[in-house]
Amino acid sequence: MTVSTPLISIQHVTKRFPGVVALKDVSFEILPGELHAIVGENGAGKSTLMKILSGVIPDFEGQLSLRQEPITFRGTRDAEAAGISIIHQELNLVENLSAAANIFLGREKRKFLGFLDDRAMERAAEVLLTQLECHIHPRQLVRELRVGDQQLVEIAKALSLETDILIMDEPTSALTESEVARLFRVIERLRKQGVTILYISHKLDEVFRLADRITVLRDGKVVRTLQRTETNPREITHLMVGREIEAVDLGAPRQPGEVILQVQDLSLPWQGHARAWRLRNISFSLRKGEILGIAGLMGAGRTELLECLFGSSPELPGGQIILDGRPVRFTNPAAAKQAGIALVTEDRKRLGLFANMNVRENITMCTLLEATRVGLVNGGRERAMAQGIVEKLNVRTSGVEAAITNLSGGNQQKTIIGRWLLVKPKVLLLDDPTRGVDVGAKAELYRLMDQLCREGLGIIVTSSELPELLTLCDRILVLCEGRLTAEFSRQEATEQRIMEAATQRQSVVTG
Amino acid sequence: MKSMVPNPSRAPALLDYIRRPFNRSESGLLLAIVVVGLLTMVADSQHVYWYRPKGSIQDILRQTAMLGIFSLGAAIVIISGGIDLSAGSMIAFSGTVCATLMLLIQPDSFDPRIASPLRPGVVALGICGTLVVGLLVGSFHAWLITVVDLPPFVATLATLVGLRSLARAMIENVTKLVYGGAGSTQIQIHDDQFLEMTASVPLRVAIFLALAGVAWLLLSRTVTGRHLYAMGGNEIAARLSGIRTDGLKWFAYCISAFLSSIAGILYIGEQATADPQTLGQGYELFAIAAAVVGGCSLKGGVGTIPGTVLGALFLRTVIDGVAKVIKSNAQVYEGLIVGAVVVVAVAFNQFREAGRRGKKFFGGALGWVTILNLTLFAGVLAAIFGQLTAMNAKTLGLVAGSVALVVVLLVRFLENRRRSEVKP
Amino acid sequence: MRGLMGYSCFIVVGLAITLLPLGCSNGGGSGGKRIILLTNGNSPFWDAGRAGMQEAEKDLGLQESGLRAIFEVNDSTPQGQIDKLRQYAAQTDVAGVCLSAVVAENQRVAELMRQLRKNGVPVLTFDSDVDREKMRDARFAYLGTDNYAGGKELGRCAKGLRPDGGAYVTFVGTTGAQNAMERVNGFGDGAGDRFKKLDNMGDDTDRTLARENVRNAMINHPEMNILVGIWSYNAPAIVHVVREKGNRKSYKVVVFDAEPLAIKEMAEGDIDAMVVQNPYRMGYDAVKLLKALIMDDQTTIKEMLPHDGQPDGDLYDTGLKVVIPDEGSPLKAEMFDKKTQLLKLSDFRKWLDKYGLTGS
Repeated sequence: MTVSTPLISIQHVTKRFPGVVALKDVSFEILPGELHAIVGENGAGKSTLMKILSGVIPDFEGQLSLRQEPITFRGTRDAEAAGISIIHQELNLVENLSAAANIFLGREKRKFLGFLDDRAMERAAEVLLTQLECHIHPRQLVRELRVGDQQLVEIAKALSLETDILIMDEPTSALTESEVARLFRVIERLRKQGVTILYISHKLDEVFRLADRITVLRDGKVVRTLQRTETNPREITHLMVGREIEAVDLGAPRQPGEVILQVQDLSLPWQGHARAWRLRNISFSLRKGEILGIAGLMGAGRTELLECLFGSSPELPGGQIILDGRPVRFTNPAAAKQAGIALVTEDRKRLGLFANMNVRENITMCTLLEATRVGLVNGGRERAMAQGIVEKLNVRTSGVEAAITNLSGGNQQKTIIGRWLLVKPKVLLLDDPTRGVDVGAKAELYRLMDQLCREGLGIIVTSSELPELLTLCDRILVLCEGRLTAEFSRQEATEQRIMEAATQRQSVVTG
Repeated sequence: MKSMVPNPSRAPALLDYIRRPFNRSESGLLLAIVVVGLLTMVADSQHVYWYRPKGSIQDILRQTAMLGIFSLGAAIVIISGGIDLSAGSMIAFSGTVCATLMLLIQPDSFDPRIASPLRPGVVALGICGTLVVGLLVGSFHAWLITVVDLPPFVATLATLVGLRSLARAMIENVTKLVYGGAGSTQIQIHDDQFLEMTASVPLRVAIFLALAGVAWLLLSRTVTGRHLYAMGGNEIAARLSGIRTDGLKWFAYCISAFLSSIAGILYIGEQATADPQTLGQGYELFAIAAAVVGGCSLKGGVGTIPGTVLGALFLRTVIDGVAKVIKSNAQVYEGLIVGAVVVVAVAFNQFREAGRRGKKFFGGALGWVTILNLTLFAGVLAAIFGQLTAMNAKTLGLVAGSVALVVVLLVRFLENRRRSEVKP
Repeated sequence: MRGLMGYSCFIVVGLAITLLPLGCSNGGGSGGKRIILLTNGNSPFWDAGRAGMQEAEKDLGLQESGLRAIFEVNDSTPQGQIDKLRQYAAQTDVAGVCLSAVVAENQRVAELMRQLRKNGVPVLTFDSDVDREKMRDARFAYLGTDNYAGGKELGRCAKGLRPDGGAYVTFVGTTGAQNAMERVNGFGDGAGDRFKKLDNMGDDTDRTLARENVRNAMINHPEMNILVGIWSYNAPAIVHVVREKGNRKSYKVVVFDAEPLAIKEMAEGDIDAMVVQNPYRMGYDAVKLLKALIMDDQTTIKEMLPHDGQPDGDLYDTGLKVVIPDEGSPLKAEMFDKKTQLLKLSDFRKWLDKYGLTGS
């Protein structure tokens, strides 16, 4: 193998934020034409590094060199001009504009006199989208697209820049299997064209499929850069975490108790949509001490199902919900909470955290009444409540007064779970609880859920990671486009079967 | 990952106060108040603050208590994530309602020829009726916002315009009803006791402090207060945590209208007349300014009661300072100075909280225009009081303008130099 | 470092602000005590008043006596006037105050005026008095025109212009102001029962609204044939709209006060009669009387108020004029009160020039 000169050289890059050092003296090189994977736990610094490379963060210590010349970016435009573009993990699309408008946002094609040339943009967008095997019309509004298609629009946007360096930050996090396969074909095509790709992911199977070289970050430092052929997933995990992670073994199987929740013919209409129903005729039951998993693709209705149980769905669902033997009808989350149902939402930043507040306040938000005396909050009691949760769930924080935004993703998630545990619910609903949580914390969460179940809680958990469901759940329900298509017990469930049920178009499971 | 530091803009519990007496933003404001007071004492050619301290403090306290009462309402609504633009009109409306109720029950007190003293029961009824109306208006706001789904800006803008007009119509019709004739645009109050009671500074200050105390307790030590902050900080998360956000909004807007009602009653006593046309014009902006200077963020979820109290005190101190120093026709300059002060105070707060992402003050094309702006501003200001004090306006203007220009260019130069020094 | 940037900017702004007070303290030190004339709005009417005040300051040698005369304007609200009076009470360099009461029966204003008097500061009213039944003691005297008499003269103008009667609308700033109410009442009495009062429209010194009111009156009252301007700026507002609609022939226009614009409009034939007060004299004599009270100059006081102590002895009349166009006016001096002076426009202009005024 010829020794090629590095395309990008990252030298001694350090980035400090108030209260935390995100990157410490990071140095490594990227060779032209390679697919270079960057892996690490959450908080390792991957996103910060990519933001520096793409010009989003212009001030930092250290030096970047492109093609052996030192380079400074004052903003994303400079980076784009230098040939670097980035596909963000969190989609940066304007929902009310069309796909074509989004693709050319900031670089609109113009006619004479400076007017927008929509036709040219749509034509060019069409070409790009076809290359990505995406069959949407370029004039469709982004908010009407499925998440998978939205992500392809984001990719098309980066591709339209025709840069020779592409940064992809967790690109498959919201894609179905077939969409992922499609993306890999696109990546193959790009590589043939000589595009250099930086691929950030925590999914090691993808990394090992695509990458030439792998750089491992941990706690803001480079641990090592390796050739893919010279290593294996286990070693990489070890380097990421600093210790060996066993597959989580939860010990003896749980013994579920009596039925705590029964759902009959739950239906949720969908106004103005072709499908007419977000959920249709869902029936199942949940026992105490049982973990019930809900699998399905994006848009299958998993989150909506949990919302119906919690009273936060946009409309009242039809059908019956029976909690602890009594039929219930929740019109708002407060009523559900009162009855003993708790929901830990997905997207904790937007829906779960109070970013202005500290750990203690976030934990006690739902149960503050218990810490009051004569109507006034007793600081000591509140602190004790929060401290108790921090210890029970092993939340890593410098104290209950720390700002919640200082905690890592996994610890924030624990905080929110802790908030709901204080409510002493009968049923705990968890919507994709380990998303954005690093490997070590995931294992902790699994053990926590197991323990809670053994204490008598009934848990419903949704996830897009099938191995996770297989580890955790006693039973798994599969949703496909709003209908319940399969139900598996732990012994029956395999990834294959679940996927088949999740992608079916017809048959409904009975009984 | 350190920081045992409690986030300084959140409502601190009493222990925090004892532990950290110099909570930064509020002690800064206190310092600013003292500085402005001293500046006024010195710059005032009569040194009124020095020679008549008791009277001067009384004057400032009188005004602060009034502003403070309805600023508390503004702050609570802002902290809960909303905004209430109708405070001034609410003051006018509630003042009108109070006077109208008393007029209807005991009309001969308002007839200048008879002017019998108001029976205490009548006054009580008037006040209670007004407070009830305050709660009704607040509930109406809540209904518009939570049921009809209007943005708070729009809902309270509607009442800003509508209430005053309603009050004017009411007054004309009621006076026509009671006295016959063409009706009147105002109701004059003649009862000395009522006037004395509402004008009494100790009473006003006592009412204000009591209300502020209750509000502080509410926000910092009760569950409802915590939930208000939560809703202001992240409404969706609050709702999904089982907080009844609609009920909280009802509560917040009722408080705001209720406090404005109290202010309305005190104002008609102060002015000895209920004149809905002019009463409280523009006061809502002062209330919001007091809250914001005191540390509230218009995004919601941030702010404190002590901060708002200090904010009101600060604004009134500045206004009184302007009146004392520029003795005649001070109101001409009042707006200019208050505007500048609010900008500086809030920018100062922002500075401390966020740092500013490395943006230069005078960078780029906008920087050049700003340099022009500030230079002209300094020059024009200097020329104006050159006229006032019969110093040579032109030279003064040119000198001030040049000084400003030099300083600002220096800042820009330093900023640019610092930029290029970053890379080692 | 970044903090330094911020602070230096605050220095710039702070400089601009603090320069003001420091500068003023220089100017203020040399002044001496203040005689303050307080009015409710800006207009050429009060410009004439200001001219009178400045003339009196020179003529009467105020500076040698350690005084200076200041003209202040508050917004036309009760609170504004109350705040001003409070500030005067709080300061130690106010020697005398003469104000135009914004609302006649306001207790608080009267109370503050009494307080000033108790502190030894003489208080007068001009242009618009306080309620004469209950609050006479709040001020030493009232200077100005008897607004009721003025209204009556204007009513007589209307009668002279339309001997068969008519229907009118009055336009004013604050309908509750004492001078406004008196003028409107006087107009009704002077015109007589052949004239029907259709409306009394207030605009709260908003000149745009003043015009709107005229337009609305024309639409709402088709039988209206006389337009009556009560405050000084209502005259040009009326004429503007009449010219805009081109219906001069349908209306007689009679107004109070002579703003420069109104004078020009009468010369152009768009105003039929003006009842003119003498704000110049109000300003001049207010200063003169206040100085006399401050210096305890009993001679001057007796000279100005010979009937002091008798009923209405505290009212000082500054005189009324009725101005008519040079040609074609049916109005004659016999129609009016003996004390009122009837002038043709050109003679009035000569009188203005004598005092260096552009309006009255």
